[in-house]
Amino acid sequence: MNFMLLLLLLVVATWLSATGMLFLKLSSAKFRLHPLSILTNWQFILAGSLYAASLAVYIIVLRDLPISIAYPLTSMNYVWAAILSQRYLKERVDAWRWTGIGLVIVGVALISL
Amino acid sequence: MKSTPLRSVLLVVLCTLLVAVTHLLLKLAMARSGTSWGLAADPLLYAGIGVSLVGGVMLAYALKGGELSVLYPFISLGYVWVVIEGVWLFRERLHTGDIAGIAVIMVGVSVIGHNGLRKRHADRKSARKRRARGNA
Repeated sequence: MNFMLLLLLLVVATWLSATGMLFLKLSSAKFRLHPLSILTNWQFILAGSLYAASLAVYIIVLRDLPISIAYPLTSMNYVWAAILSQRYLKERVDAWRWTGIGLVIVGVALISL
Repeated sequence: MKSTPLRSVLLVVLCTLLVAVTHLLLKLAMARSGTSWGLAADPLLYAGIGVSLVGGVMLAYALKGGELSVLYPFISLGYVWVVIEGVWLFRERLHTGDIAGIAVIMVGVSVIGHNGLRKRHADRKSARKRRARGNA
């Protein structure tokens, strides 16, 4: 597969996983530790499915892209999560939080490269 | 309510430890099973899946009380535990990049955590002020 397509797939994978997190957060409002409550919580089920889908896409990418490149790129996640929480959860993501996210991304890259 | 309690942050950190345990179980399962059928029959695989399910439920609990933009970056501590696990249990070599990466991640999550928790104090203060004004 060509490199641009692999990158696009990684964007999709990370976006799916961040959206999964958003739904996990949304599901948590009515979250109780009871099997029935968990199984009937559609947002929780959707969160799990989105996460599974993102893993599936990631595994497809890993067939053609070395893990030392693919892994640090998955920290795009943190950027998506920040954008989604700003937009849909009305959280204020200020310069400090963006700085922290930037540092986390640099750290992940240092570990994988 | 726009704040993140310390309890939520600690729960997420605990989750990342569970992620590291999952990683370990999967690695052991993969190492001892030659074929994919062998892997599918390995109890360690299911133990790994079980542990990550527990992690998911815990994460939902953590998110319940806090902000996603504060808590989510803490997931990156998972990378740190995996590196430590590799060095400690599998005698993998620790590279300079690993040490630098761990340090930078720690600084990054500290900045975010400090920011989120400080906001909480500010929220409390303004709530107290509002109450005081209400009484006056």
